[in-house]
Amino acid sequence: MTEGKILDIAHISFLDMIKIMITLSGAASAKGTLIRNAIQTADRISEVDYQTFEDYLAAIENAMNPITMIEGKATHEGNYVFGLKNCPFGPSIKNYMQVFEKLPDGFADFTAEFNKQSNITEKYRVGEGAGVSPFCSVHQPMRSAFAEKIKIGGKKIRIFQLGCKAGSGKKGFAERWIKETGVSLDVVDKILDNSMCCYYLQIIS
Amino acid sequence: MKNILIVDDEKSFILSLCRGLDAYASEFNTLTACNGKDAVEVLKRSKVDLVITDLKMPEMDGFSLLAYISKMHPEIAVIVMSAYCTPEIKTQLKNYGAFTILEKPIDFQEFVDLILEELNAVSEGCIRGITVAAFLQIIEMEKKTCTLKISSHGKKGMLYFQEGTMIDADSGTDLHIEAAFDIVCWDDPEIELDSVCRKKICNIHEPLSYIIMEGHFRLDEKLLAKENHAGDNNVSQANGTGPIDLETVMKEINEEDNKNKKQVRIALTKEEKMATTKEILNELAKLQNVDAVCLVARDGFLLDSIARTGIDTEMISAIASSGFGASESMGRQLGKGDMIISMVEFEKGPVMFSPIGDDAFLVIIADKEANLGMIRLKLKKHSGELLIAAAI
Repeated sequence: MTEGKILDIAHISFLDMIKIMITLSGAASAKGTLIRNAIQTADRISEVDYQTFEDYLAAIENAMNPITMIEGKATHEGNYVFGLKNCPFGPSIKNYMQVFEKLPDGFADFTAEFNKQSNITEKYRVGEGAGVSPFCSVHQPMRSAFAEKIKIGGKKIRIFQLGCKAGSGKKGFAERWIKETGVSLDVVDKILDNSMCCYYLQIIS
Repeated sequence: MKNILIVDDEKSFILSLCRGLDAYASEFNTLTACNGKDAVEVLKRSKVDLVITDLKMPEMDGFSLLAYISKMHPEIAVIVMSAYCTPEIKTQLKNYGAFTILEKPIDFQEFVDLILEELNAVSEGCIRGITVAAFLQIIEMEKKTCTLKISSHGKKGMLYFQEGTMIDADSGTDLHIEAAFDIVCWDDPEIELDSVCRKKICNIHEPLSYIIMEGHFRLDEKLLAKENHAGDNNVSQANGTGPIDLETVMKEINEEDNKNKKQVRIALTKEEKMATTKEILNELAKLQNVDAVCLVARDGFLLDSIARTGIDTEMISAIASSGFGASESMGRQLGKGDMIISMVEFEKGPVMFSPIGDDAFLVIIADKEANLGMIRLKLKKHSGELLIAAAI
């Protein structure tokens, strides 16, 4: 027996819910709601302190790292730059496209809204061009908010979103965060060849 | 000394009334007229406080006289005397206002008591140094029935209240709701209060808070239009040319305005911007009965606020973002253009939203005693400054 077109209703509902939010209260408000939701999720996790950066990386490998729990295993590409092979929203998008062929209307406006400079994207060092779909507004701030619960050697860490790649292969770069971290644009570009997401981890001294 | 005017075509009847009223010469003067036409002449010549009129008269009857008084002297109290007061006539009389009806043959003592009662009812007092809007809110709160004569810079208007509800208005140039919008904004007013409402028909159905808000909004629009017109003239004069295309002039003004905004944005440090934003929010929060003022990014994250204890401004901002966004979406759906202001009126007071540029909006939370017109006016005044100060 073949599976045929069996949908995950949670995926479909989530994507359509975003569309409804955009229609009813505008892209800015919908963006805020998704980011708030991401922050509230992060609020519910416990703080963790890794003795060394190596311990942090080991926790990723063991899938014990809080960030890994929400997005899967990221690869350390060197100099605290990470690449994420699969977008955590990939299955949702695939599932939706299987039936409806294209994503709901209004997603482009939403993505543009997420990339606009704002207090909240500045606080979490996301967006600024690194958003390629509305899901980035959930994923990127959630990762940054989770990072606030993590310490390495007793020191706080911060995540900078450097770039992201859409399912279509189109890459988005956060030039502001790339410049601020000193990571080269070429490095980010190369990482995105084999990854869907690229970020930088800073240990605050 | 107060004057009463008795209008009747039966000369002997007038004579006997006048003889009887001589005993009250220290209380009021008695003037007479034998029909409506004569009465109008007397009203033109003399200040009359009370008119007592018959209905059936030659040349100009009582109904025509009542119509004249309603229009030209709505402040004058009227007693109608009639031997044929059918329910139809009573209904007809109500259309002319609130008159006391005295059926003929009259009881003289009842007649005198009525005159004294009407004369004492008028002009309870004259008030100065309070805004019309603030005074009207007191009338509404006290559920007062009265007629207000409002004078301001040569203008005279009348507002009629039944148990605290404004039912009619006359500004001399406009009637009903249009007159009310005008009068509520008159500045430096002298308010005279009569404790009777001289109108019975309700010609205004909008709540007082709306009338005050809309009145001030209209006034503000007029002033802005005037300023813009003066600006157009200045530009035209400065260029020394003849007629200029209005679109070009507005474009130039907007470009200049944007340039100024940019300069201010560069000139102010982040700390200075925050201080200026706070000052403006403070200015709005200082308005009477305003509980909180929040500057919110459109995504619902709070930028700055001034609020009394107990208001969770972060949560309010998040909720307000949905409300604001929903109002905007509705406007778009209906093709109503950009949103100017949105207000939700609750049992215990209103919440107002107003856009500040493209990326933020202001939330004002007030209690039910707040002067909405004033809030709206201040909002309009400060939104431009806020946009620059917060450099949103």
